[in-house]
Amino acid sequence: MTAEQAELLRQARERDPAALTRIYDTYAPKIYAYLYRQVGDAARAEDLTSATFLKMLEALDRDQFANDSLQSWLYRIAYNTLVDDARRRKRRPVASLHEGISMPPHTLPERIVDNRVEREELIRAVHQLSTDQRNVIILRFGEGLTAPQVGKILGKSEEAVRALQRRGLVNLRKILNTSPLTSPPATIVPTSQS
Amino acid sequence: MTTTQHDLLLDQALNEILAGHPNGKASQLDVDLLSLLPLAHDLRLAMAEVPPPPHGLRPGRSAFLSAAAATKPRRRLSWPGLPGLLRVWQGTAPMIAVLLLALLLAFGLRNRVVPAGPSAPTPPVGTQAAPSPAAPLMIPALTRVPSATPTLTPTLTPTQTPTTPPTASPTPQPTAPPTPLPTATPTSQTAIIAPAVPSPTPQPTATPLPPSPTPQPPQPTPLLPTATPLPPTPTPIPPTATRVPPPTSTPTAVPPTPIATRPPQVTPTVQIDLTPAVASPTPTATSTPPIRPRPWPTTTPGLTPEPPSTPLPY
Repeated sequence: MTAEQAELLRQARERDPAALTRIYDTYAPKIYAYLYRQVGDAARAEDLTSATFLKMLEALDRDQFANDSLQSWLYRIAYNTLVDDARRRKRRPVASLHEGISMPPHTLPERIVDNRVEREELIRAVHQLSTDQRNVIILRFGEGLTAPQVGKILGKSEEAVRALQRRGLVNLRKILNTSPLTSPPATIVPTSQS
Repeated sequence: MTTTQHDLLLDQALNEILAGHPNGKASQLDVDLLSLLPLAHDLRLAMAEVPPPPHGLRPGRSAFLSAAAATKPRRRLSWPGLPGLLRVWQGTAPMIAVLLLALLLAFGLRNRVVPAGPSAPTPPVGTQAAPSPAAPLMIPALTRVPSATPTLTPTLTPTQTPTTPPTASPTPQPTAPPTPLPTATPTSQTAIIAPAVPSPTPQPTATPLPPSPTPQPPQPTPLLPTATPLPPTPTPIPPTATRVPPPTSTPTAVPPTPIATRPPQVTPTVQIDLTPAVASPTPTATSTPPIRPRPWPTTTPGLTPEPPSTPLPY
């Protein structure tokens, strides 16, 4: 954590509106994008973003960001918020009005050619990965974080993140059937990921 | 190349792709892993598209700021500095000192009382000889003596068992100091032991049992001097012995009755043994009424002479 970030956090702990506004304006778009990639629902991602920053206020007093960068700390809070929300939804299933709309079917003739459809199909394939692989793929390719940064957010080692990244990509390829090549024996571990 | 090395190379290649240099370390990758790079590139492009939030991020920011204004920052607890510790010490030191003083006084007094207790046990023992429960508690050291007394008792028990039983219990402790009449003391002790164990058997021999309970009181008078040598030892045992004789005496009446009556006799004797064990002195006192005057007064005088006994003992 840089000195500037430490000072920003100190002011935020004092509930300085300027510091809080700066933090929110800087990181809220990233957190929203991350959450949207995770849930695929803009409205839900918006709610989760608000919840993430409210949790950040509580965490400010606990100093749980000691050795993290401010961004990694916020991503971790967002990830925990996401996990809590998933648990809550598991207990009380909620039918989202956006389900089926956020991912429009690619069977429409006029859009089959569109690259956009392929991308949506790719995103849909990402959501079929295991939780850890999906988290790594989204943080790595969606947020552009490095393996050590992803490891800090998810609480995993760099090696584990790299392994999850490779297996996620191999599984994605299998799902999409984009490549006829078969992955090497060591890399074919489709379902046994942690 | 191990899987970890493959992962590391792929990660480096992906870093180049994410940084905008798609053809860097990729050349070192295997064909299989190399085929993953285009997929990673498409993935990056696909993930770059994020729709804007339906309501924008402004509402979220205003909610965030209002929540921050509503919650005051929590002050963290910190260790007190030296001035704070001194202030606390000034406030609590007198109380701690008083508490420690009270503890010291309490334990010091307790320790003083304990040693003083053993020094004066003999007078209370003599007085408490009548109430049996107190006597055994007061003289733990005397209990060691009994070990020697049993050795003496076996030899003498057969002879005087009938007469001795009553005397032993009360007198011995006080009388222990007086040295005279070693011969009489064995009788008293033997009497104690004999009734305790073979109480039923000697009953026939003690056919004059009716008198036997009565003689118990008279014996104390001679015993007081005699018992002096073995005062401590007889004290615990005598009460039991004295208790036993009365039951035995009752069975003595049984012999005239037919043999069939004996079984019931045994059971009463057992019951009697148990009851006196609890309150040994009282039964003896009840048995003594005819001869009361002798035993009790005599025992008390015998107890008083204890001090002289201390020099005399073996």
